[in-house]
Amino acid sequence: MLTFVTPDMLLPILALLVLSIDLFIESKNKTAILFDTAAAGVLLIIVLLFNLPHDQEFYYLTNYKVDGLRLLFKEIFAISLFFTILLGKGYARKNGNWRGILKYDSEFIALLIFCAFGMFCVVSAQELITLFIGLELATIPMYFLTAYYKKDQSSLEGAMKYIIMGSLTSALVLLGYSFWYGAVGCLRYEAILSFVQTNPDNPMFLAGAIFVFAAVCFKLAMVPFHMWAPDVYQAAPTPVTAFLSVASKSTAIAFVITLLYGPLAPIRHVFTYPLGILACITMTVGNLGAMRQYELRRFMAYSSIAQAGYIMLALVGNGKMAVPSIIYYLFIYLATNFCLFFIISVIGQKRPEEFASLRGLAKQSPALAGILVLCLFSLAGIPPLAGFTGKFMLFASAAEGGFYGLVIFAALNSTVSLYYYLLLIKEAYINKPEEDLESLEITFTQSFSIAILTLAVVILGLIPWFSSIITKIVG
Amino acid sequence: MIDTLFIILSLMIIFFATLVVTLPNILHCALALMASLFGSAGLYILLNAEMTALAQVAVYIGGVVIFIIFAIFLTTRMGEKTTPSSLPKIGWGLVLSSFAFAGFYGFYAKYLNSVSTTGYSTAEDGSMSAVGKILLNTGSEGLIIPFEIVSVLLLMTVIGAVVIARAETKALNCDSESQENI
Amino acid sequence: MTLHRLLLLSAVNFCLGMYGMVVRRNVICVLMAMELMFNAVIINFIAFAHYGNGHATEGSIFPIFIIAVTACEMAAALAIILTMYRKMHKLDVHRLDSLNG
Repeated sequence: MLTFVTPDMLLPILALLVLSIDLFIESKNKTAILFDTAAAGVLLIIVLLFNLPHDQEFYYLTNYKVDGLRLLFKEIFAISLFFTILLGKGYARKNGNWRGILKYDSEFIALLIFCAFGMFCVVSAQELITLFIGLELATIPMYFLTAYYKKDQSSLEGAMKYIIMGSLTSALVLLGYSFWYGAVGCLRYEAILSFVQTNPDNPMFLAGAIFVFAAVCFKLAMVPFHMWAPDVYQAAPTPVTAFLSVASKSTAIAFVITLLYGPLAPIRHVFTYPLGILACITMTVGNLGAMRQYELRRFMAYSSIAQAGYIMLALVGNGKMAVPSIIYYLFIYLATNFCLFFIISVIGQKRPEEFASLRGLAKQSPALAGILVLCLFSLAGIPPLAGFTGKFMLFASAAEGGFYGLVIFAALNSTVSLYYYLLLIKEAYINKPEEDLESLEITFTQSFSIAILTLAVVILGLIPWFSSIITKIVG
Repeated sequence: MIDTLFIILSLMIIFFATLVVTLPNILHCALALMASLFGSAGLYILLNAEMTALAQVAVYIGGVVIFIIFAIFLTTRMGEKTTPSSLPKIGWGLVLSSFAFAGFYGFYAKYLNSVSTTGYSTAEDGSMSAVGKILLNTGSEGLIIPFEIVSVLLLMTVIGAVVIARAETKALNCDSESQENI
Repeated sequence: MTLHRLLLLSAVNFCLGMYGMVVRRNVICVLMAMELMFNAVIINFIAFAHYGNGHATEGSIFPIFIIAVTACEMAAALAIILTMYRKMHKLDVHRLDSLNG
């Protein structure tokens, strides 16, 4: 029965393994060894996760739950960890990025792995203490990783802002938990569930829930708590930005879903409508913000704020489709976003990661420019790419609850977003570079990852079995 | 007796907490924070939570605040005053915090009766043995999982803090071209 | 000593922390204000543990975890503060403006 938690247990062991390899092995290309070991280890964990039976429930020590929904979330975290490590490999070598070499590789990898371990704990938690500690374990490494370019003033400032915002979030979430504890008298999910069933409108409990969801809005960078995201995304090294935009967002979404479809299920309808309204405001703000950007990582921040809005909209339907559509979209979002970040990492080797650096990409590397177009169209939701299918399912889930107004609003937003995604394509295809460009180097790791992710972006939308499997597991 | 102690302790907590957010000298702020936390530790003993009081004194005061004081020594000169904040900021802070307090006050006045307050914990409930039995219990009562995860959290913090806080000497970055020495 | 008074005491602490976070300019002061907020939450937990008729020991265990996590958060913050001070020689939150946000 231990097999259900083997992947979780292997994560910290892998982190320690990487640290000890750094300690004991003397080699010329130690960086490559470290990153390859970590990637292989995470790949093993992904395989283990996929091999577990998704139709069973398992409780480890009665307080750590593993079931299909949780395994799917863990797969999302593990896959994004895998690609983050591959992305980071390009930054740890000379000329990997114009901002400098990423040093302390083994610690970098270990922090990422610990962070993923925290995310695993968030989804599997069955009482509030594990939930809280897991959320912190998923956040605190990101503070360090954001500050990883220690020579760069903006990196440190971004980390400082992130820390202040993050600690405020944990104070809020703790206040919410203390109210919950006051109302329920126990910290376990079953106790909370049975309490909520008998007193669905206990004001103390609802007040606590407001604080908890405010904190989640912070983590998800939803309006009105979105201002930290662009700064932090810009300050962090690009692999960390990619991890933040995919895995951290998924963690916050997993947090909401495990609560709303676990202990808070009887009063779910109280929260879904406000969350849907917030989601609509969030996607508008994200879209409007993205139009005025010229820095690619900042642009991706606003773009992912908007994407979080689309994802949260699915919860409003409160129907059977909500969770499967969100998980399906998270897989697609993972593939698309990581593909974009790999392209950004190729461009950022010698030039700053700005719109202007994309100029001439179509001439220099037609394949890369083509993949860029594919990914951007997928994010904008153009058929027949994966993003379209995903968004369609999200909107269909909201429509299931009869919220056609919100769905039309979101569809309009999605059309608006096409405008700024086209701006990027215009830079790549039409605008001429001012001076002659140095040729782009693509390492094997980068081309390999881009190939796999592009394949995922193209075929995940075309093959129907993927979404039906998810629906079968979760629905 | 207990009521008098409670009043003394809560006055102490509030007084020193006010000092923490108003004093111009950071070191004094840290000492006031220490006093405020001591007051809370006393309160926890009154409320039969002796293990928490112990952790508060040992970890919070003995660890975190001392750590803050170290950071203050490393980053400020003796007797240096912080730059005072602008008046609009202070006004904004006052408005925000008084609104928040009004919110709490109104909420508690109206809805506190929704919480059942019949039970009183005994000295047993917060004692070290009761806490230890739950923390190391693998059964349905137990909280061993967060107890183990928090150790991973502490390990991670040590690794991260060492990486970020260490000063880089010339010997370390032999592979660099444009790095300045801090 | 009633539950109501204890909760009000914690609310005062929480609001003082909020005030400090808005007003103070030095990063370390902001962090100390944050400590006040965490302390307020701990008081809340202990008060509910004592007066509520639930599981009292769990209510006094959660604060211990809060203290541990706060220590970690502080360690992270202070490590970054030290590096920042070495680099910039100022710790003013109102002037963290090299990012255009």
